[in-house]
Amino acid sequence: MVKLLSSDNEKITVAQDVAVRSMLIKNMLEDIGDAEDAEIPLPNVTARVLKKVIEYCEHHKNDPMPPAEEDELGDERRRSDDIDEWDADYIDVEQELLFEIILAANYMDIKPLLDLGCKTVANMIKGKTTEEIRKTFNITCDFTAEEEEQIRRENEWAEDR
Amino acid sequence: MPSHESRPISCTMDTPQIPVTEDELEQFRKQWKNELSVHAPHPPASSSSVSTADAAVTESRGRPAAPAPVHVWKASHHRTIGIMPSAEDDDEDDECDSAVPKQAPTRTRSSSKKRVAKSARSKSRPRDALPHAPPPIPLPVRSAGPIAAKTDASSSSAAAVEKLTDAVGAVSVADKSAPLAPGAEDKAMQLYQQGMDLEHDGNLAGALKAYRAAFKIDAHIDIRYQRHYAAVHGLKASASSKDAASSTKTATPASATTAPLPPFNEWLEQIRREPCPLQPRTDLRPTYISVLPAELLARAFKFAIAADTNAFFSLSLVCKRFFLVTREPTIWKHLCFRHYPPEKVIADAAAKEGWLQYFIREPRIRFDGVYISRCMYVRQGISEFGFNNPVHLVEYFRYLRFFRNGRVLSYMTTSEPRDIVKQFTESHLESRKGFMRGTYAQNGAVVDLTLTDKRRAHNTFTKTVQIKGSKRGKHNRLHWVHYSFTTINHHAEQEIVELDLTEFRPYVFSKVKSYGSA
Repeated sequence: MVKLLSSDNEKITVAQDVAVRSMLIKNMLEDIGDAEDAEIPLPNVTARVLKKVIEYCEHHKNDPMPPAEEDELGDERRRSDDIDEWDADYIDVEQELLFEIILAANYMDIKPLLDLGCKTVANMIKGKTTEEIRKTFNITCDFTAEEEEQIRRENEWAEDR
Repeated sequence: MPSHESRPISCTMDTPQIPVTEDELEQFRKQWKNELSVHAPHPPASSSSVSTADAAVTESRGRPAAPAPVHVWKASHHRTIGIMPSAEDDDEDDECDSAVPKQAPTRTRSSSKKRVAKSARSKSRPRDALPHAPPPIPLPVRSAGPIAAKTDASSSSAAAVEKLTDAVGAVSVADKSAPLAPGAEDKAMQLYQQGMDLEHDGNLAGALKAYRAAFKIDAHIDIRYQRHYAAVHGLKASASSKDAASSTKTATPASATTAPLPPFNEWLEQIRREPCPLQPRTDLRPTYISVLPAELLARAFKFAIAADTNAFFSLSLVCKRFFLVTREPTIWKHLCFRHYPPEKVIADAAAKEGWLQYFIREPRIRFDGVYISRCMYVRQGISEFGFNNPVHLVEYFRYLRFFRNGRVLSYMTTSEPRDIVKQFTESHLESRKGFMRGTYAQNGAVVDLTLTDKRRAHNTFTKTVQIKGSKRGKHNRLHWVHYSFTTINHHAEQEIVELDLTEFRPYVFSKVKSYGSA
C-alpha cells in the first residue's frame, strides 16, 4: 500500500499497482525504496481531485503501460473520438473538475488520463464556431475588429465552408 | 383627398407636408430658430450657433462607427422620451396635433422627428425649445445622483471630458457666444436637473414645467448641462454604465483605423509580448479553462485541430491567448508528421521553417473529404423526324477519395455529390459500374494513382494529378497531368492508351464531415 498526502492534508491509501499508474509516484517509490510508512506528498492536488484520479487508476490498473516517449506517429492513439464507454462516463464532469483532473494528470504524469482530459476538451471545441467556443468556456473576445480581420485573412486556408 | 383605406397608411408613413428627410428637417429647424431668436432672451447668438450645433449632430450621425454618435443616438432617444409626454400631457399641444391625423402609429424615431418638425412649424412658444433641445446626457447616467453635489472632477476624467466635448464640439462655440449671469446659470441648471428628476420619476407634466423654466433662463441649458455633467461624471459614466462600456468597445476599432495594424508577423510578436489573460464573458461563472497552462491547452487543441483544421480557424479567433496557443509548434509538428512521410519532413527541415508555415506551404492530400471533378459533354441526339438536331448536355462526376493507408477509390458516375459522398466506401460501391480502387504515391505536389476496375481485369489505369490550391494553404484542387490505361491484348502484349485530358475538369475538394479526421 502507498500513502498519499493531498494538498489539503488528507491521507489517502491506495494499492501499489494503482498508485504506480502515476509515473511521478512510481519514480518516487523507486527513489525511497521500500519504506513502508512513507507518505508521498502531492502538494498540487486536492483530495477531491486525487480521489477522482485514483478512481481512474483503479479501473485502468491492468492496462499495458503507455510508451514513455511520445511518438509523433502514434496516429491511432491521437484520435479524439476513441474514448471508450467507461472513460467517457468517468470524464463526464463539470468544467471545473475536468480542468483540475487534467492538471493533476499532468502533474502526476498519467499520460492516458491526460489524453482523456485533453480529448474531452477537444470534443468540446470540435465543430463549434468561434462564438460557440467563447460561450462554452466563458471567454470574452479581446481582439479589435481589425485584429480579428487580420487573423481571419491569415488563417483563411484552414476554413472549410 | 386620400380614400378611407389609404388614410392609415398615409399616417404611418409620412404625409407630404410633414418633412421626412434630414435636410428638410434641418431647414425647418433653421427657420424655427430664426423665429425663436426673435423671442429668445439672447437673440443674436442663438440663431446661428444652435444651428451649428445641429449641423454637428446631423453630421456625426453619418459616421456610426465613431464614438461620438453613440452619445448622439442616445440623445435622440432621450429626446424622444422628452417629446412624447409633451404631446400627451400638455393641453396646448392638442391644437397642434389636430393639424395632422390623430392616430399615432408606433413610437419610432420617425414619429419623433415628425413632432420635432411640427413644433418647428408652430409659432415660437418657449415650450418649443424642448423638443428641439440637443440631448442632455445618456439616460442611465442621469440616475447616478444630483450633479451639484459632485464637483470634484478627478484628473483621470479629463480624457472623457475631452471626448464628450468633442461630441458637442460646435455646441461649445454656441455656448461661448451666449454669456449668462452666474446666478442665472445656476438657477437654470437647478431647474433643468429638477426637470430631469421629475421626468425620471414619471412626472412628465412637472418635468415639462421645469424644463420650460430652465430654457427660459438659458436657451442652451441642455448643452451647458451636458458639458457640466461630462466634466463631473464623464469618466465614472463610461466606467459604470453598460451602454457607455459598449460605446468604448465600438470606439476601440475606430481608433485603431487611425493607426493601421502592423504586418501579421510583427503584430504576432507584439501580441506575444502582451500578457493576454482570459477574460470571462459573464460573471455568472468563472472561466475555468484559464487554469490550464499553454502547453496543456495546446495538447487539447492538437486533438481538435488534427481532427479538423476548421477548429484551428475557430480557435484562433476566440481571444488573444487562444490565438497564441493555436500557433504552438507542438500542434503543427504533430500535424506535419501526420500528413507527410516522416523522412520527408525531416529532410525538408520543416522545423527550421516553422511547422505551421511548412504545413501551410507543403502540398498535401486531404483525407477529410472527397475530390470531385464535374465534367460535361455534348452528345448528339437522334431526332425521330429529322426536322431538328437535338443535343444532350451530359453532366457527370469523377470522385476521388484518398485514405491514409495509401489506398484510393475512384468513381465515375452521373450521380450528384450529395447522393454519393455518404456511401463512398469500398463495400458500397464495389459492384457499381465506374468504380475503381487502387493505390497512390505522393511526390511533392504530384500524385500518381494506379487503379484497377473489377470488371475490366485486363486493364490498369494510371492517373497523375497535381495538387494545387485556390488560395494559399488550401490545397483543394487536383489538376490532371496524365491519364492512361494499359491493356493486355490476347498476344499478351501491353498496349498503352493515352486519354485526351481536354474535357477533364480539375478535381475540387469537398469536405465531408462524416469522414472524420483530416
